Amino acid sequence: MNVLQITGSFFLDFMASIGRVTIFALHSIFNIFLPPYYPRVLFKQMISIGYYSLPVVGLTAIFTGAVLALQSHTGFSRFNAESSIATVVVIAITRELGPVLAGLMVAGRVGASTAAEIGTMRVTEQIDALVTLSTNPFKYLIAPRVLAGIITLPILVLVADIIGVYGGYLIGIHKLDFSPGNYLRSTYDLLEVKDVITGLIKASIFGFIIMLMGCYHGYKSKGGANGVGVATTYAVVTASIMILFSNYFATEFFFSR
Amino acid sequence: MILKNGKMVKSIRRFFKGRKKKVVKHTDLKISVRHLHKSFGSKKVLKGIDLDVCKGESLVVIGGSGSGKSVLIKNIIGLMEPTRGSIKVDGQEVTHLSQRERNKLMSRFGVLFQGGALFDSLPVWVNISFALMQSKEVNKEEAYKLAVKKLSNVGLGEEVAKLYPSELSGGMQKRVALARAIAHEPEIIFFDEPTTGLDPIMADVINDLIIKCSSELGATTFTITHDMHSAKKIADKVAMLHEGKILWSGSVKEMSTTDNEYVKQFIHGRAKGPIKMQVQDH
Repeated sequence: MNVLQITGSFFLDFMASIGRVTIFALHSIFNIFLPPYYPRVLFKQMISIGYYSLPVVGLTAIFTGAVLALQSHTGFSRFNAESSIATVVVIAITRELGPVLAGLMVAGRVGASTAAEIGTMRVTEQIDALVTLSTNPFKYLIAPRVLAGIITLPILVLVADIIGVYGGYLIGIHKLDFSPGNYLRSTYDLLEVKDVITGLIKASIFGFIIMLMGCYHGYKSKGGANGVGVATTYAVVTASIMILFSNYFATEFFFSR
Repeated sequence: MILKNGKMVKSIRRFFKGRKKKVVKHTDLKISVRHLHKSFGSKKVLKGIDLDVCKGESLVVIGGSGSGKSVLIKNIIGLMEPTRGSIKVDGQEVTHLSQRERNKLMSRFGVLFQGGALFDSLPVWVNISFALMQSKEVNKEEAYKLAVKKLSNVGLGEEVAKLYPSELSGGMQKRVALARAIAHEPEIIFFDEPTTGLDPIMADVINDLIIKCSSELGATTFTITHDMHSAKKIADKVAMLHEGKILWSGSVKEMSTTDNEYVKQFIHGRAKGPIKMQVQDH
């Protein structure tokens, strides 16, 4: 009986929190479209998500591309398929690794700081103060951040794609003795527009997830410094899991036909 | 076209409000609270509050920690929805307002939060003129000038205007927060524990500023505090809240002569008496 009780209450809690997140998400999407708009807040957030994440995302991408080239070489050289290395690198990066790794890095960097910032505003009553100054916190705090995530992540991932392919190229020509022309041609030949576009659409979804989780957990945090800490952890963990989860379904949706 | 749409929205809103009761106006009654209940789950925090604040009057609600003071003030400001009961401002029911009506009402309120609640990502002058800049009533230069003027009202110089809240001392933050609360010249000002966390001298400075600013604006004020010195200084009327109910209310003079044991225990700060403080958690 007790086990059933625990299972039941766990399930109810889980469903309730899914409901809360859904309502929060709908509310924030709704507020993106309704005036007043805050273009300056949006711009500031885009800079902080995009520009300041460049170093960390760039580093991740270049090493991922490099490792990918090395590993596929060890595999492909066994059956003399070295010419496919460049293709494998570019397709893996643009379709999956670029968006997912950039998403995870941004979840750690921006998702956490968003949750901490909004959480601190919540526990120090700054969000209440916004309300008393006739400003809707959803429009001023949440909507610009979520929109900035949706817009900025694809741009960031595009840069990451380029850097990642360049990482593979560096290893290809300096370590694996490809000629630059050959490597570039086989990179370009089998790459389709669809590979890049689907990656960017995924990036947009991940941007939405990251900022939504950061804002949601920050907004609902309570109980001082401890509460903000918990909110930050949850924001990063839930965003990361949801990125991996939604990535699978996005891939299935785009490529299973 | 836009006008038409506006009209349509209005008529739709009127349709949904058709069943609202007729509003009885009390010209001198600024805030009136009736049978206010607030529960969190099974925990009842407010158990039927009745309060009246007249125009230009200063009401101070005193009570120990856990008595429900903060919940009461948040319900009246509109940061929380009451479970049951009515709150009227100028005779207008303010529970269950739409977002736009709520914003309109908020522009008549000024709130000084316990910790100041200044926006730490914005400089002091933007903090002070935030509401006016958001409603686009003033441009940037006017906003800056207004902020400097409000700073001088609370005894701070222009040099503070461009600093960030984290660069100020606790007392200065409180003053800036007060400047922000009065910047849009509200009709009603709420003070949430205005002197908590300040040294006695700074607390008195804040008390004086509260009296000065609210009398300059002719504002009605609603304060919650557990600082008896502050209560005696700024109150016209005092109400004592205990375990979610108003135990006693009256003027400041009546408070010092009352034989209500609860009030006597509270104003003299005795550990022994009818009020049992929860010493241990759980």
